[in-house]
Amino acid sequence: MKKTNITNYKKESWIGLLYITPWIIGFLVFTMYPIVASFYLSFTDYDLLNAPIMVGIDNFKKIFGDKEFLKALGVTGKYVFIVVPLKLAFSLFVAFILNMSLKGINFFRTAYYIPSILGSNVAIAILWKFIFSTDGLVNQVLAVMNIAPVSWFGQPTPALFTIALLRVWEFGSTMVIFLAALKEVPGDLYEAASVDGSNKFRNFFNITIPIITPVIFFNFIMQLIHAFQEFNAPYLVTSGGPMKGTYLLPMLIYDHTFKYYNMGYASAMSWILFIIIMTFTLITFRSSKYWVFYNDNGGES
Amino acid sequence: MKKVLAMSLATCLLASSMVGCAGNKPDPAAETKSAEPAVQAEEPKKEEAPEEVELRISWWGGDDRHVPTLDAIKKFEELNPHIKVKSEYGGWDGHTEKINTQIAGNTATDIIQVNYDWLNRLSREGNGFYDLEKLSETIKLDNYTEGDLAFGRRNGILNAIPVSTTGRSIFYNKTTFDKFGAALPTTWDELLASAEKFSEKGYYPFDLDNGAGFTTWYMVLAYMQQKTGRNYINEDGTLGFTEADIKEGLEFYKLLEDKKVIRTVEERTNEAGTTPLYQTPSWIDGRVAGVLEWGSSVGKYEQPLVEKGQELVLGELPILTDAKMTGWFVKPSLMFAINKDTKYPEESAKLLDFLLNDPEAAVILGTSRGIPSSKAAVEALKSADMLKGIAFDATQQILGANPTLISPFTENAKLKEIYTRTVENVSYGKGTIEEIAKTMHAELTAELANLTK
Repeated sequence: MKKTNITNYKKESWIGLLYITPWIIGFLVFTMYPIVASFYLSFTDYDLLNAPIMVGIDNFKKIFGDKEFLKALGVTGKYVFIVVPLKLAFSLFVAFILNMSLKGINFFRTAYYIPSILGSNVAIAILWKFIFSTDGLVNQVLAVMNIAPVSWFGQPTPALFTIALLRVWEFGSTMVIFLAALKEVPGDLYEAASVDGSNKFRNFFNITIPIITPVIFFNFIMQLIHAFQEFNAPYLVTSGGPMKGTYLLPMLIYDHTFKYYNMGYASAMSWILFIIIMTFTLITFRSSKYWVFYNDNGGES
Repeated sequence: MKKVLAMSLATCLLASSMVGCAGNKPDPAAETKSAEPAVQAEEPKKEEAPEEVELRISWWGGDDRHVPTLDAIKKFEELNPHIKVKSEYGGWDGHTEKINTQIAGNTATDIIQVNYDWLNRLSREGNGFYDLEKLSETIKLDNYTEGDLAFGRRNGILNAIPVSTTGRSIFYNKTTFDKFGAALPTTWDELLASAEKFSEKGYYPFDLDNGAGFTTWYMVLAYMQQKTGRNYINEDGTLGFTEADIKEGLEFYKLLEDKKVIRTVEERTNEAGTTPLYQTPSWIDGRVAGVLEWGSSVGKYEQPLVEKGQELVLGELPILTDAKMTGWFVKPSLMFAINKDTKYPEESAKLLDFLLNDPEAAVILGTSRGIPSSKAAVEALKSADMLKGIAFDATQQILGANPTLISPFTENAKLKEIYTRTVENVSYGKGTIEEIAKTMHAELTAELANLTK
């Protein structure tokens, strides 16, 4: 009896493996292989045409004296610093509103998700260019309010801001995750709090936020990783300008690969970027025990 | 709960960071996978006489080029029913990167439209592409002068055939100039003074692009070559300009901005980010009334103006009275090469010859790749009365101006990046022009040494 159970189990596990084979193949070919290849290439000088030449850690040594890299790193840091908190706050805000029981709420929930479906494609890039151009929508609104027009694409800092805003605008997926978390917050907690004379504001910061910290944590890390890898928006909208003000690290890596043909150097930069992302993620994980609460064992852990 | 969350997070992190560090790699792999079977599938049946063959051809351009090229290819397929042609085409943006990836992954098309500066890199020793002289029974090379073919030679080997030669000329929106009663500039001084009549705010007589087209630096080069008589880049790939030349050139650029002949880089970028000029309202509404553009692709600037009832005319090339050389440039606008690993050299040659030299194809293609260098094609266009318009006039003008041949290094991506950055620094006033020129001179010298080593 017991024996047949084990064989059945084994058999089923093979079927399970069979089911995920497409994914495994995809993972090996499109993810694992490139990772191994890029690791190898990061120690070589490779121009895409001739065979890679081993150069040891020269690429890595060069990176830290490379002004372009340091500048791009600075800009990337700034971008992450702007986009992650802004996006989290905004999507939480929208999720909070959409969590209210209003008439036709499902319509609004759908409507607010639409920007995320559109993605940062070429059409959105064009839309963005028009909204923020000299005589664009934003400057026209500012003019009505008697505020001098802003040189959105013409100056580095506003340009970086417009790029960040494009990502913030696509808040849909983070918003949905927040919304699910908000719906999980037990209503009796609010009732109990209001009996004790707490107001909405306090409820939010003392009940809602602590309970959804695991989800904030999740969204924070996902957004952090995405932000460090941002490529589409600056590539399509500003091509990294003006004065390299929106020239993020992934763009530099792309240019070194396909424009200057330094595949080896670009791979080395990718690995540095990977280490940076990893470090930030680990820090977040470490810090999580001080601010993330799990209520599965009956309270704060 | 905590464990599950941590694990799912770790998986997500791993997966997405891998995508990140793998960066651009999945693409080439994907292309390899999708493209290879098509080529290999042909192999089995080789004995039959008119073998079914599938050729692939790639080019870049705008719709004004895509449509006639596709028509010509259709005609070719009708004439050669056993050959199927698969076309891969798109805009210029990102095209170089795509072709590089394909060549690196051995999935390049059989016939490749190549840019002049690519040969340097893709075929340094001359063996990067098929030796076209081996196919000279099919490709009628006698349609070309040896001077034309020289553009496509590397190490004496004919790698590519230039379709046409081109240079940048100056074009003005005559409608706007007439509106202000301003005469079209014919000299540098007149160009510098041309904004004086443009009394209305937001109107400029000229435009220079500081992006991929680098007309900012191109204009400076033409001016400074006239002034000094020195080539910007010498034939051996060393920098011909001195630091003082660069400084003077940049000062000239700044003067154009200061005199409101052109917009500053900031004003220009601010209008619409990276949108090309011919798609921006400034150009379409005639507020920016001049452009420096290749004769072979001025069509995209002319078309929107014609649609709005405006007129684009060819201006005169400004030349200093004491010019030591005309300074204006010419280059092969684009060339065709055959993949060195093609399975069907004969058929590829046949298609190439059809596109380049066949009279019927010439009429279909018109001047979508500039005024053809092929004698047979030019004859066909002449008898069809298709050699007219500003594209033709511009080509005649530049070829007749005793132009300098552009160094194949001039359009190198790294050098272009230096031009863009330098002009930005001048325009945004980051440092004195003297310092900026000094940096630029050092960077150009270093990069050219790197490219020619």
